[in-house]
Amino acid sequence: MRKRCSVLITILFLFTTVLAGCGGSSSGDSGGKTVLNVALWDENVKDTLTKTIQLYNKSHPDVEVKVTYTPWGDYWTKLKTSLAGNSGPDVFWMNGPNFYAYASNGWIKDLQPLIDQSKLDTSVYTDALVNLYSYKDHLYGLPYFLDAVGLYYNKELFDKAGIPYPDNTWTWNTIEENAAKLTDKKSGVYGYAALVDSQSGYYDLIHQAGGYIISDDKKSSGFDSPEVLSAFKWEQGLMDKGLSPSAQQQMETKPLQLFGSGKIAMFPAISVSAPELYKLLGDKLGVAPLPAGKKQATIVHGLSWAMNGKTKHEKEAWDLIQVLSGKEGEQLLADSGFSIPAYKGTEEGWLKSIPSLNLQVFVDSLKFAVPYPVSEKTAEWQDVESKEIQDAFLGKKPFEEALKTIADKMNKILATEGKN
Amino acid sequence: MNLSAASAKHQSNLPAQKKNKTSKLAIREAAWGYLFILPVVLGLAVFYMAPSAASLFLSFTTWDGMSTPVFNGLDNFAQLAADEKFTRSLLNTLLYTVATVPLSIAFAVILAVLLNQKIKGMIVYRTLYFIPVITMPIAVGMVWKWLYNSEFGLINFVLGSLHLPQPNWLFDEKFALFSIVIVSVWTSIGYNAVILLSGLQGISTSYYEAASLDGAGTLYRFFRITLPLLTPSLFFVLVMSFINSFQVFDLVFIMMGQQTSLLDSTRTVVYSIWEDGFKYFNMGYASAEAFILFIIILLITAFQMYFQKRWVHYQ
Amino acid sequence: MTSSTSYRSRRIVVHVLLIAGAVLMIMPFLWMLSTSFKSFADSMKVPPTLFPAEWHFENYSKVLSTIDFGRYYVNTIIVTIGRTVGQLLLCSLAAYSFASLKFPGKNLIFLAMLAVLMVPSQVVMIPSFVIMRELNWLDTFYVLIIPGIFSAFGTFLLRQFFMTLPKDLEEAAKIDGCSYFRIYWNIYLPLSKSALVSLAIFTILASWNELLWPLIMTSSEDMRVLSIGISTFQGQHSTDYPLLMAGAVMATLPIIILFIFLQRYFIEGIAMNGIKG
Repeated sequence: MRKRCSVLITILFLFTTVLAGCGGSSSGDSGGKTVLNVALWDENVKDTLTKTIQLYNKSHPDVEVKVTYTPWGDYWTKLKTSLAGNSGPDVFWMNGPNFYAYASNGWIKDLQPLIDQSKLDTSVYTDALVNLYSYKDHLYGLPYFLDAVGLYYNKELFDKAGIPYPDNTWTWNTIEENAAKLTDKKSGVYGYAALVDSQSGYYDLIHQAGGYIISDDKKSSGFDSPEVLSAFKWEQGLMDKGLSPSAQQQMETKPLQLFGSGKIAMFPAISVSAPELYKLLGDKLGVAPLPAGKKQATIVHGLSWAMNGKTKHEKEAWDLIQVLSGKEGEQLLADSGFSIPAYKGTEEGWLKSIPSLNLQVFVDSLKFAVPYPVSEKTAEWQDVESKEIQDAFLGKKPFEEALKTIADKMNKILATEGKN
Repeated sequence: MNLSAASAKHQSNLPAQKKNKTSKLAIREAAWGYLFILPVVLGLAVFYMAPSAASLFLSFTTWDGMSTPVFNGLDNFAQLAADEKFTRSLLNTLLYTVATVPLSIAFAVILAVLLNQKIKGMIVYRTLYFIPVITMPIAVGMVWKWLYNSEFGLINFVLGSLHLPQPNWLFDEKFALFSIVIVSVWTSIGYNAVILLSGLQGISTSYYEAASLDGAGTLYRFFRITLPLLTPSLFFVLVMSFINSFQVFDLVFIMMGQQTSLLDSTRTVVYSIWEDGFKYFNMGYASAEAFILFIIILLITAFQMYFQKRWVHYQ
Repeated sequence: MTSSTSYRSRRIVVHVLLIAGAVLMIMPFLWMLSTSFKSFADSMKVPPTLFPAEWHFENYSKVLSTIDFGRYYVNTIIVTIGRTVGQLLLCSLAAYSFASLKFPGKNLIFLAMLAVLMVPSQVVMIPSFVIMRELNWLDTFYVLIIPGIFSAFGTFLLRQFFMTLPKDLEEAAKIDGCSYFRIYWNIYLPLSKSALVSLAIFTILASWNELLWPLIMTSSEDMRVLSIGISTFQGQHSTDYPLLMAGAVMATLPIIILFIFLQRYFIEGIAMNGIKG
C-alpha cells in the first residue's frame, strides 16, 4: 500500500513539475534552414501548392516552406490570434472583406516597394483584383485566383418547357418572361432564384441597375439611390409572383440545394461553385453570363497572397509570393481546376476542367467586372446591410426605409474609418 | 481492510487525546489541505487566471488585437452602458438562462431516476440518452433546422395534423429564442442526467430498505429520500448550468447561421463578445463585455454558494 | 391487484417513457449515420430523404484516403489519456481537500477556482496563446495536454460527491493513524467509482471533441487531432456532408463503445460495497 502511494506521488510530480518545467521542443529554424510559414484554408489546392513550392525550392534550396491549412470556419480567428501573439505565418491568404483592416493597420506588408524593386508587371493580373487589393494606390496582396458570378441553368427544365438556353443577349426582362414559363407550381419548380445573398445576388443587380454599393473613395454608401431600390424591387417582384423562392424559403433551405435538386431553373452563382453544381446536376448543367439590366455587370472577388507585416524573412517571403502568383504557379492552379487564376491568359487548364460546361463565359464576363465592395470596416456595415435587407425581404419593413437605414448607418461607420 | 472494527477500538480513548493535539492537528490538516489543492490551483493560475487577468487589463484599453493596447480608462464601460446591442444581448442571455436551467434540470432528474431502475436493457437506454452529448454539433443543428422547417419540418407536420397552430419557429421574434432553448435543453438533459445518475448511485440502499420496511410509497421515497440525498449533485448541476447558460454561443451560431434578421432577438453576450472581438477588431471592448458578464456570473454563483446551506444536504 | 402485477405494469410504463424519449434523442445521430452513406447529390436533396437512395459504403474508405485518420486518432488518444489520467488524479486530490479538510480561506479559494469557468474563452484566447508561445509549447503535445489536466469543473464535481460520503469511516481511519493521503487513496477513491467514471467520461468527451484550442495552438499536420481532421470537410463554399458525417461517425464510435463499457460502473456504486450510511 505504502509503495503505491509513493508511486502515485511520483506520478503527480511528474505531471506538474517535470513536464511543466522542461518545456516543449522549439520550433523555428531547423537545421540552419530558413523556415517560411504559409497559411491558407482550402485543402483542395494542396497538390498545386506542393508542386509550386517544389518550383520555388529549385531556386531556394535553403528555405523550408511549411504550409498550414486551417479550416475556413476558424481561419480568421487563428490568423488574428497568432498575429497578435507575434507568431503569425509569413505568407498567407487574404480575402476582400478583411483586406482593408489588415492593410490600413499595417498588419500586412505594403508590397509596392518590393514590386517596384523587382520591376514586377502587375498589369498581368485582372484589373478588378488589383483594384481590390490596393490600399492608397499601393498593392498589399498579389492576386492569386478569382471568382466571377454567372447564371447557371438546368438544361432539362429548359428542354421540357421548350425554351432556348440563356445567352449573352438576355436581360432582366427576358429572365422574367422565361421564368414565368419555367415555373411549375405543381411540382414546386421555380424559374429563377432572386437571391437574398449579396455576392451572387443583389450586389450584381445593383451594379446592373446602374447603382453602386460604396463610393470609390470609400467615404459614402450608395444604398440610398433609386437604382439600388429598383434592383430590390425587381427581386421582390419575382418573389411575389412566385417565380422565385421567397426570402424565408431561401433562408431555410439553401437555394443551391434547391437548384441542385432540380427545383430552380436559373440560378446565379460564383464560378467556384461550378464543380459542386456539376456533381449535383451532371450534364444537365449549363452556364451563361448574368443578364443585363441597364448594363452588364458581375461582381468579382478573389484571393491574394499577403505578407505578415512583421515577417523576419521579407526577401524569401516575397520571392515565394512571386512564384505562387507567377505564371507557372498560376498555370498549375488552373490545371487543378480549382478556380480562375488571377494571372491573365493562364486560364486554359481551368476552362477544360469541366468539358461539358462553357466556362469561358466567366472569363469573358471579366470585361464588365466590378470589384467586390470593401472598406476598413467591411464586416460592420455588411452586418447592418444584411440585417436590413433580410428584414425588408421578409416584409418587416419597406425597402425604401431599409435602404435609407443602411445608407445612414453605413455612412456613420465609414466616417469612423482611417482614424487609427 | 476492516476500518469499522478499528474505529470501534479507538473510539474509547478519543476525548483524552483530542485536546492537547487539537491545534497541532489543525495546522497539520491545513498544511495537507493546501498541499492537496496546490497542483490544481497552480495550474489554473498559470493557464486560466493569468490570461483572464490580462483580459481584465485589456478591458480598460482600446485594442484592435494586434497593435499596442491604448489605455482609455473607463471609456469601454461608459460606451457599454449606452450600447443597445449589448443591453439586448444581456436581456436575451438572461431569458435564455431562466428558461433553460429549470427545464433541463427537471428533465434530467426525471431521466436519471428512470435510468436508475434495475430493469432489462438499461445499458441500451443509458447509451441512447447519452448520444445527444456526443453527436457532432453540426449534425444536431442540421436535424433541428429540418425539424423546425416551416415547409417540410416534422414538428409543424405533427402540429398541423393535430390542427394546432404552426409557428414559424426560427423566423418569428416570439419563438426564435425559445426554439434555441428547446435544442439546448435537449442536448443538456443527457449530460446532466449522467451527473445525477452518479449522485443517485451514491445513495446507500439502506435508506430505501428502511423506508420500504415502513411501507413508504414511491412518491414518498422520491421526495423524502432520493431528492434530499441528491441535493449535492443537484447543486453542482445547478451552478454549472448557470455558468454555462450565461456563456451560450455555439448554439446561437449554429441555429441562426447567416440569418441576421432575427439576430437582435437571439444574440447573446458571448455572441456580442465574439462579434466585437474577432469580427470588428475591438478586443478591448469585447474584454469589457466579458468582464461585465463575469461579474454577473460570479455574483450569482457566490449567492448560490452562500445559500446552499439552506437546501443542500451534505452528510 | 397483486404486487407483482403492479410491479410489472410500472415497468411497462418506464419502458414506454424511455423508448419515446430515446427516439427523440437519437434522431440526429441516425441522421448522421444515414447521411454518411449517401451520395453527395443525395445529401443535398430537397426535401431531405431519410434513407440513402443508394448505400455508399465507400464514403468511409474515402475519408480514410483523404485525411490521415490514423495519425489523428493516435494523437487524439494520447491527448485524451494524458488529460483524463491527470485530471482524475489532480482533481480528486484537490476535491478531497475541499470536501473534507479544514484550512483557512477554503471557501474563497474555491470560489476563485470556479471563477475560472466564468470567463468566456474568446477573450482569453490571445493571452493564452502568448503564454504558450513563451513556454515554447506551441505545436507540441504539451499545449494539448498540460493545460487540460487542471480542471475547476472536475474538482467541483468530485468535491460534491465526496461531501456525500459518510464521515464515520474517515474518522475511524484518522484515529487509526492513517495519513490524509491514505484516507484519500484508500477510502475516498474506492467509494467514488461512479463519480470518477462520470468525470472520466466528461474529460474524455471534452478532449475528444475540442476544436478551437488545438486548432489555434498547433499548426503542423503531425499534431492534428480528430476534430480538426473532420472539420476540414467543411469548406468555405461547400461542405461534403457525406464525408463529414462518415468522419464524425468514425470519430464518435469509440466514444460510444467506451461509454457502454464505462457505464456499468454506475450500477456498482456505493450500494454494492455494502457500507451502511
